[in-house]
Amino acid sequence: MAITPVQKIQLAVTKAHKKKLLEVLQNFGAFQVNDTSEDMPAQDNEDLKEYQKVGLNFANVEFAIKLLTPYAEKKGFLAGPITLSEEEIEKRAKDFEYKKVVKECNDIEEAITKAKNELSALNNEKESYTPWKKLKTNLENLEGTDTTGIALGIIKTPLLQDALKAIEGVSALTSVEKVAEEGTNTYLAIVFDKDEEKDLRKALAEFKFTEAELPLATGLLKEYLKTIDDSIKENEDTLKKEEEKLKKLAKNMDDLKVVQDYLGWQKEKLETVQKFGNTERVFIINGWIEAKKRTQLEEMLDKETKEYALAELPLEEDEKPPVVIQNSSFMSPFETLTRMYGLPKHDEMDPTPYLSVFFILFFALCLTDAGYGIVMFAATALALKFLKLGEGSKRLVKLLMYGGIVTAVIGAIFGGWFGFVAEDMPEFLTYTAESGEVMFIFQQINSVTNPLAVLIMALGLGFLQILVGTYMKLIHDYRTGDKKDAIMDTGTWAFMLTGIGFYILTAAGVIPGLGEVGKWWVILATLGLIVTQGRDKKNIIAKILSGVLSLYGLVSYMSDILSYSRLLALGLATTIIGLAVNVIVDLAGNLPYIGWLFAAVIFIGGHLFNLVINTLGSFIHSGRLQFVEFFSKFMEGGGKEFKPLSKKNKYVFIKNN
Amino acid sequence: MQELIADMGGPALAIAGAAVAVIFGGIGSSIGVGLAGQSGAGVVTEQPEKFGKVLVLEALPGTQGIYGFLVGFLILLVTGILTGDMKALTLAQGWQLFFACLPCGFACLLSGIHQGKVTAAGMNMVAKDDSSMGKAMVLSAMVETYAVLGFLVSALLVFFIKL
Repeated sequence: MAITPVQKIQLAVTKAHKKKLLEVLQNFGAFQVNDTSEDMPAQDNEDLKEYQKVGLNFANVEFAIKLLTPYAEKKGFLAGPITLSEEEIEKRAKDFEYKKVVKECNDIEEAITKAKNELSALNNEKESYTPWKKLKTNLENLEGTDTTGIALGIIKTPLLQDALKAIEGVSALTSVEKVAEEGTNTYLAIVFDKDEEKDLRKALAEFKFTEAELPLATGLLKEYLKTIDDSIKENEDTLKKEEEKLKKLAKNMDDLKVVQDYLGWQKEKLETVQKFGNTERVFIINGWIEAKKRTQLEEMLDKETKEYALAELPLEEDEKPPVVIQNSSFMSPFETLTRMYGLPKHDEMDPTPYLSVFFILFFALCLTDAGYGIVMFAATALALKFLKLGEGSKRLVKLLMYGGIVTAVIGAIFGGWFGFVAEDMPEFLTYTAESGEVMFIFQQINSVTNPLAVLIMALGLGFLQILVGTYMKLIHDYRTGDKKDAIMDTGTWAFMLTGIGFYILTAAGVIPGLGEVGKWWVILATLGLIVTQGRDKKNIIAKILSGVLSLYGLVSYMSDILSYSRLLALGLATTIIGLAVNVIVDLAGNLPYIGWLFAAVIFIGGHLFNLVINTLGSFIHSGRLQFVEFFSKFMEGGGKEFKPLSKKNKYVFIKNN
Repeated sequence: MQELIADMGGPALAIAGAAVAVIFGGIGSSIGVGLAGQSGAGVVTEQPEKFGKVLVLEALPGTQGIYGFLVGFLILLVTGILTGDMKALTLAQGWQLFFACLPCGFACLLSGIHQGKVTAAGMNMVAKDDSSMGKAMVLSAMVETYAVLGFLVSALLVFFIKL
């Protein structure tokens, strides 16, 4: 129900028991090791070497999994993850020769990269040579003779005629052959007299003649292109072959995943060893332990060895222990929210149980549709029963299931049933309220015709939550901190807020006849604030001034409370979208022949959309009200998470025996 | 100008109001979702497994468009356009409905754009660390508050204007 106390301890164990010790600590799972290796470094680097070795293997398996994932068979949605007991994981990981698989993966990857590089080079070559394939001379002849040279190049077709004229102008002893014309490019082979080369090139440059290079080979270009094609085919075959191999290897995916998790355990253990303090024969281990589990650890160690000593260490000044929050399994889904914000500090309260009621109520008020609530409850209940979910998703789904239940109740009170209007419903589902309005059974209030009542209720709930938050801080500070400060800092505000609440109730006539009391209560509280809030200032004027200024805090309380008006807005949004969907359904239903089909599709699709988008909105906004409006009254947050040495799994689910 | 407005009459002004709400809300959300989507696509290229989270974040600035649509829909509902026999609105009633739509339209326009920016930045948080998802969502929802308030006032006005 709250923050679990954590103890700082020191454990000394002879090094001979290293393996057993790590095993025990990891299985124990509630001991966080602090780094003391700087004060007492290890004499040799054997452990470091071992750690690096395991780390390398871990990275290799990770690489293999990543490489093989696209080739693995897709599993059905309902199949769920691999589920094994810890012993089974260990056995499977030890039996499986992952190193062979990793090596094969490496080889295949190398071959694939090589083939792909070659392919892209070959394709480039092919692309640039193909336009010249009609060249009638052998490639070795392109070097020219003693007196003649050959220039191959590309010119823009529109410039061709002018270029030809210019070439002729330079020297009559020039032969120009048009090899091909493709798009706007014309491919030319020019044979020229070497004496005129300089002038000719100058003339050509003016027409943006781009020179092309052909391969240094013998025979016709056509034949050369054929060898390129053969190489391309060869490389493509290699790729296909290697991919086949990958598909075959991917059948080992499950084993690889088991190995990956198993290596992860080893890696974490060896990582922890790096943090141990060392003497010649003993490990000195400092760390945090859940206080109530200390005897359990001692028992576990006793079973292995007597050569250890365990003692509690005093906290250093300003040292902040890590934070563990623990709630009953009924409450634990709400931890999702607490963790979303960040853990409370070690000396603050765990807000989980307090926010739970408000969160789920606000969530329901934002949805206010009993139909949606029932659908959500059914969907999440089925998911919990038939899907294998991780710890985190399980909590979230369970939270949504609670949300579904409460939404169904609140929705019924507000008369939300898939956006239907009560007047259009069969009579046995409705009744006529005292105001003459037709309502669903169970319905007490209609938020569309009477939004003001809902607004007042929303603000009232907001006031209540903020009051609760203030009193929580008062009680917590009074118990754990300076009693005088608690009363003067928080108590005065609690008194003020209660007074205002009382005054509003009397003014609204809920508590009749005590208006005078309410008025004096508020005046007294105001004076109290003025007197207490400036008490740390030095002179009397500054004291009173900052006391009066503190009254400005009322504005922030007011804006906090007004923020709860979103409950009405989001509730209305759900209702009106539902209404809009039904109007469109009606219109579609009037179409001849297939109208009913359209209507059915729009009804289901539209309401599903509304449900999803508004569940998201309700969750976020109800959460925000907890984080921003509620938490700020009594906690800062920012506690460090307790991270014990344990067996963490990425892929495999642990089956509990 | 005066004549033109007088000729248009109440109904046209009411429809203009609905148009303002839907158009501005839609623009706000389009820009917002667009900004968020661009960042999100970047995250997904590097880490395809985060698609689900990115999609949820991208949807956040989309609500402004819905609020605008809702106010537009309310106008259609209260003026009776949907049922086929539109009420004969006076010029004054038309103006009232028109102005009633402005809070939602403008609030949604600007909050949509800015929520898009915050969400785009939130995408980076998610790219770096999955567990920041909740924080990114709450940061984004802070901006949405003002669209919610605009929608609330517009909706209440449309409900309570006497026709």
